[in-house]
Amino acid sequence: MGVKKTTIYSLLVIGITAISSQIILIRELFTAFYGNELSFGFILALWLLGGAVGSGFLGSIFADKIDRKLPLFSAVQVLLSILIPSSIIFVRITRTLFGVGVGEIIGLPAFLANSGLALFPISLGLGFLFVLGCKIISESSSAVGIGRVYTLEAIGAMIGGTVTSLVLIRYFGALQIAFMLSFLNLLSAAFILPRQSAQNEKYLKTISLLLIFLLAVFAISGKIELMDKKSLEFKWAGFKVLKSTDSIYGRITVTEKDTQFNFFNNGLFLFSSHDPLSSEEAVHFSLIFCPDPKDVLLIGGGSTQIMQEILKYPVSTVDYVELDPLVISLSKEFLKNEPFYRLDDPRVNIINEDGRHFIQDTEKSYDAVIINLPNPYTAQINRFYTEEFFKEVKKILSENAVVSFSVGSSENYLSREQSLFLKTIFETARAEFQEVKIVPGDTAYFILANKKGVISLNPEDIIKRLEQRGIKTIYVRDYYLFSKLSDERIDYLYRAINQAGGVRKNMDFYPVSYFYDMVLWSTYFSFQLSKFFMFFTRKVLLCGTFFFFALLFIVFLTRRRTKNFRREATLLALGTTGLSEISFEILIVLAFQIIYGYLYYKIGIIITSFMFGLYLGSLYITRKLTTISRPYKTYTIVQVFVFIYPLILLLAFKVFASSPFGGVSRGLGANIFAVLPFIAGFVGGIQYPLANKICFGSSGAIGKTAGITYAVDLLGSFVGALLLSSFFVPIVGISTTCILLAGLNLVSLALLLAGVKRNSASP
Amino acid sequence: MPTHITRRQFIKSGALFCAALMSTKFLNRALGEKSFAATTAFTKEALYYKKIDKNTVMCILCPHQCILKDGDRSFCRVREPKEGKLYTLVYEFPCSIHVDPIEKKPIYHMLPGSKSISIATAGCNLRCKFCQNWQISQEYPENTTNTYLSSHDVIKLTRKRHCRSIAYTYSEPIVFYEYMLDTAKLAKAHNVKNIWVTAGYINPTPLGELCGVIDAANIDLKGFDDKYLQEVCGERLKPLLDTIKMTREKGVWVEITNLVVPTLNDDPDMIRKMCAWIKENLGRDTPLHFSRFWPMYKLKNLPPTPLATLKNAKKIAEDVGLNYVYMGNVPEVQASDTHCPHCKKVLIHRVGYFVLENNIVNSKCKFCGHKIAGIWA
Repeated sequence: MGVKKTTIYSLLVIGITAISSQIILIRELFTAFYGNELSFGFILALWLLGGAVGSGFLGSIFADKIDRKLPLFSAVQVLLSILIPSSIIFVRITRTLFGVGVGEIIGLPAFLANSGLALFPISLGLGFLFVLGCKIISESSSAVGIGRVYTLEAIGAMIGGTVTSLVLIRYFGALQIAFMLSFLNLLSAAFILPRQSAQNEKYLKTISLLLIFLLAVFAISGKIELMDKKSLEFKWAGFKVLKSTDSIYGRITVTEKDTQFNFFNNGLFLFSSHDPLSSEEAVHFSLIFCPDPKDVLLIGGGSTQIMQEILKYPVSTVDYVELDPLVISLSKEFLKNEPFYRLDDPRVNIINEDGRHFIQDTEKSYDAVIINLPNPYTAQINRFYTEEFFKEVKKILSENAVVSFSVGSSENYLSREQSLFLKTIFETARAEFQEVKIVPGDTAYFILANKKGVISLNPEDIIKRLEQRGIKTIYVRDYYLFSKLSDERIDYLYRAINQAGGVRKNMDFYPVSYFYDMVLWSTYFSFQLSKFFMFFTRKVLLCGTFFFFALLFIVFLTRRRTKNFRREATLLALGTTGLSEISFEILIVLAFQIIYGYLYYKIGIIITSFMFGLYLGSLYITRKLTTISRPYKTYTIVQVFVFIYPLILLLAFKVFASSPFGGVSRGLGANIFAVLPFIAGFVGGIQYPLANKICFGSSGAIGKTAGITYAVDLLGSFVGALLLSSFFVPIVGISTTCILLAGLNLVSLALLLAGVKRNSASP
Repeated sequence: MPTHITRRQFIKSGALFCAALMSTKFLNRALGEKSFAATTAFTKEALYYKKIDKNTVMCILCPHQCILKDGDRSFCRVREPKEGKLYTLVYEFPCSIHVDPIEKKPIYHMLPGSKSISIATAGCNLRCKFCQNWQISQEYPENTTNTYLSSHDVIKLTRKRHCRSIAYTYSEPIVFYEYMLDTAKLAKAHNVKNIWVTAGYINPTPLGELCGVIDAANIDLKGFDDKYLQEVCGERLKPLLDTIKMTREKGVWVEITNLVVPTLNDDPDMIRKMCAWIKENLGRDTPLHFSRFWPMYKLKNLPPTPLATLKNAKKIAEDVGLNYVYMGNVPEVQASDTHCPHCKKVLIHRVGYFVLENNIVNSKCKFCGHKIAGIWA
């Protein structure tokens, strides 16, 4: 079949645009509105919902009715080329426009409204273009066309995702990438139109070419960079923006005000150049109890005064592990003249690596480990507060070593939610360490030791030790400690923790602490919201899910005698697969981080291998589609795989996390691990074109079919994105989540089987 | 779309509708919307309110003047009418009780180096985005963990913990006015001092009564700009200034705290106007504390106040002519000592919450005999 090269190019561009604009916009939204796992879920869900509405609602209504599809396609692309950079700018300026100051957390409704406004039009347009593309590529009305578009989009997404997240983001600003996408779309918009075109098609072509020309002028004259700079300045009103640069891990921004430098990571305040209090507390509460701290391991925060405080002890080396090299280079650039700057000290050894990965791999043993990371507000950071992590830390400690870390708390009053949060971490640490003490305050410092009687929170004791060692401090000394560490304040903290009720330990595959952190995060918006989260215990969630499964099964089963049952069962299975596929992807990335550490490039490979699977699956089946006489049967067989897959995943997680792939063969394990998502992608890739063939058979209209199937697929993903990482993983754990996914797909499978039986009875 | 409904469909829709109705109950539970009255006692009638009709009242404690029907909750979350009478729901039910150095309030010109019993209940009549104690100030009392502590118990505790004063603090004590007033009266009778740490958003009549029993007040003047106060804190400038003036006129020892928040209220001109107002209306002997903002609550991602900003604010205040200007939360800079305005010598040398040196004798400078404003014994 002679599909025009320009059309193929256009469809590839849609795939590239979809994934790349998603990557840059999510980062931009995160930076503007201070994201955590939950808001990430919301953002992704909104994006997918836009796609579902664009394909399902707009696509199925208009795609079949409109005659001149090419100009429409071209016009939507022109629109997209304007929308994408505008959205970036919109996200940057909207806060200031609405009078929300720098650093202020805005309400959840405002966050959702802004995210929606920024994402929805783009994903809506992309969803619509998908359906339109299907119609264009298969004017002959066949399900093969839909499969082909799906394949092209998947390969576009694979290319776009890889290039943007691994290469572009390191060297270009978000706005520049946005304009590159505009360029690609404008090219497509101009050349997809036939050479002999009608009058208004000529206008479109002219507009596209004009815009390309304008873009080129902008790029050459440096206007894009200027726009980038101006929009950032507007966003950080009141501060001088010294630098705002992206690394693969996130955006680091350095601002200045009245000679104080402030560092931000994705908009979240990291540290300022003047903070003796936090630095002293982070170091001395633990190091003072270490009899002879020679080798110290510091995870995070070494650019601050913390390093100076550590070096007040007679240490021989400080291994400072920092994930993002950009933090180091920017610290070296801006903090060099600060009196506390110690990064060039010969005893300091900087290692740019994931802290968890470093601890798993190091052969060294340490006299003190100081962990200076944010609260477990994502599953990624939660890895530093789990039982498994504490076990790994224990392995690298010398006999008299101490460990410390800190989390946010409250000085004068501990709410139940705050107490539960502290308690999960306290109980987790206590299961591994003989002694665990907590220093009360707005930041709670946890001090851990392998022997009892090593740590004392008695102020006199701490003061005596500081004097003996001749360590001069401003905050960690008598004038404050007698109040901060008064018996009554310590008693209050421990009483609140004891009265908080039962908690689970925080485990890698059962990350409860990040759930409680999410509950605390939600109290910033409203206490009602936090109570809403607290309502969902494991029991409630499991009962609710089983009830939902049963309801789904019964409702569909009552319809088994209706004419359209096969089509309905197919669509349901497509939706549950959509939900499962995104869940698999999230689970695999999460499990990989837990087992092997946060290795950005390998995670990139995971996502690419998923896309590649999707591409090959849909390519394979689209080629064979005309020869498959009983697509429904094939579809049902594929559904068996979707049902089994989460169980295989569960098994794989257990195996990879345990001995056979630990130790020497870890590298091998990590590589095999990256293949797991390929299978998931492949299965999903097979199912989609088949579903179209089944549905097309009963509806007959290509646009409508593609619109509905694509929408159902995205709606499933929407639900998965919304619920998986913010609810299911922390509340019931990864293992149970896998089983629940299998259960959901079993329901779809049973219903598909009911359809097989019915039709074999009547021809 | 079906053109007519079969009986089966009708039953199905009916069942679905009922299920939807039932699910709202479930949803309400999930959202934690319980009946407040069930958990809180209506035992202590509020002191300042007007009856409007049979079941409507107007609270006249603070300038918000909430008009409430039976079952409505006040803006400060701790007052509710029942059968036409307004009740305080936090009387003798504090959620936070601690012993703090008096310097932590901060009160610098009364009994330096002494300890203070600090109590607070849930609730607040402001909505400051930088609140340090938002977990109680922005919460309903039925959701906080409270302890029964009568006014008598507070006095006993003060004795037991060797405190010389009681501080009504952390959240906004105006919202537990009745509890504060009764405890303060008792304290006065027992020769224990009373400290009111407040944002000062209160009506003149209740303020007048309170001033009769309070010894010292630290009042937040969070900014000298009505727009800022409205947007960031939820209060107005005029009533606040009236409170500060009246408190001073009634003979209460007043110290002012100004939290300097970067980009929001750090404009030097605004600070200068504020200092001039203090000097003119309260006198140059009024202590002024510039406090360093720390990323908190809704402003968690705003960096802390630069030292240079605070130093500049202090200089402005001194240039205007205020005698006692301090910087809070920054012990690395020597800015919490009290100097004699006459001979400039150090009278009280403070480090953190400690008083290392006190050269005030009989309320006078030991070196030159200049009278130092404050309550020193």
